[in-house]
Amino acid sequence: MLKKRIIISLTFQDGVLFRTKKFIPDYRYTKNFVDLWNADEIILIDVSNKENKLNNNFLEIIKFFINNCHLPISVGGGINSIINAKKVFDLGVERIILNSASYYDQNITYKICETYGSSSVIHSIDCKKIKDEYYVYINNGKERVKKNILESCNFINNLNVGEILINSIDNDGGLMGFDIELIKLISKNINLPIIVQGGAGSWDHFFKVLNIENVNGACTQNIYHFTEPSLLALKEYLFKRGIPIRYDN
Amino acid sequence: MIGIINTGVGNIPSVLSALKKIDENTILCGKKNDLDKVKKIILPGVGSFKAFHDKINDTELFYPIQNRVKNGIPILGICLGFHALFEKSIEYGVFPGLDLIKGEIVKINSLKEEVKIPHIGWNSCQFNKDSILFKGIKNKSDFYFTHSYTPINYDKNFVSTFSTYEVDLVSAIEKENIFGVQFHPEKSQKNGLKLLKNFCEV
Repeated sequence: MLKKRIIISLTFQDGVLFRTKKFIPDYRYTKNFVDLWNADEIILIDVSNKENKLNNNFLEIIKFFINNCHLPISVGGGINSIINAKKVFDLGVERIILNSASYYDQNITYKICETYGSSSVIHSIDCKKIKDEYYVYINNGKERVKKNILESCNFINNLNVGEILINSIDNDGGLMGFDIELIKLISKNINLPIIVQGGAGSWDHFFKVLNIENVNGACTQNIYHFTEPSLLALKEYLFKRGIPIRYDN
Repeated sequence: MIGIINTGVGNIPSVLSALKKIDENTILCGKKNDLDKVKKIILPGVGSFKAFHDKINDTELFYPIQNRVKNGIPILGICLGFHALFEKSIEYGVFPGLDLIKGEIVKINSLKEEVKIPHIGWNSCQFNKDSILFKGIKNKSDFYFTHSYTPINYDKNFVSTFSTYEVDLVSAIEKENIFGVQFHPEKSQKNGLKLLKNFCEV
């Protein structure tokens, strides 16, 4: 049986690990404490300014994780060409996360999927709620796209990618729970496996979101979740409540 | 010395780093003479069968791999490298595989239309027969999968584990010196490293 994944998501600015709040780097960490043996996957995101994206500092970070963690690693932030994608895949990364690139030129996404396989590409959809309406953003949440959320779902359905990452900009770093309304809205309109990010603050938040059909994984980036016992405790909590989870091995 | 075939697409560094972790010496094989020194072959793979097939042909590694395996050297195919052990694939056209084991590769949803592809994530492996690769690994242990294609028309006697994703998928095979896994042991933490160690000790 396929398990639901607990994913650790780490954001880096110029190679330095930060926690973000509403997509703004908020609190600096060192990466030493990150014991990832019980995580199911790691996501590394480069949130540096445009001109500094995917520079050596960040590539060194990727290498560090490839050499020290024998589990799937996905990388996003600033991948906007087949050359950039190759740079990241060549380091041994399992999957890459695209967002802005597809909106500027969807052929890049098609090409990457054709070369590396659809299952190697995640598409991120970053959303913000303004007066009861959800809007889709690119460029680290700085630029709103013209397509509304349903048009964006349609657009992503046709990109041939393997998975979707739903990001709530409002809930990022807030510990108040995932945006269930947003996640349900997108999962109704996108016919792909989904992982979600933004807002995890308690074990029950994970339980609620992983109960949604099509949601195959949930991310957390808060230090509170990162210690070995806390990850195990989270998995035990979910396992006991019937969520299929990789727990006892 | 374990020879890792340089397939040009993806996950080579992860395989190298996993083998380093379990203290195995490796050599990256990119041309046919590279295979002379190796005692075992690992055939990794990410990406499309076509890109993989083109690369193997460009480097003239196709026949040397086939010959050495037919002469008894152990081979482990991983993911796309696992698919390459079979007769042929119909991913982006018909492409011949190494033809070391019976079967062909098709899209998972051609077995059952409503199955969502790709199959991504941790899934358990159910034992089908005794297996060298799984020695010391518990039945139904989880491994990391990411693929859209799967073998059909295979010989069930050589299947060491199945994994269920709406349908039963072959997740590992073993036939004398020929080993293959659909999942990524190099990405499957303790169990994956144990399985790689078992292969290295064959």
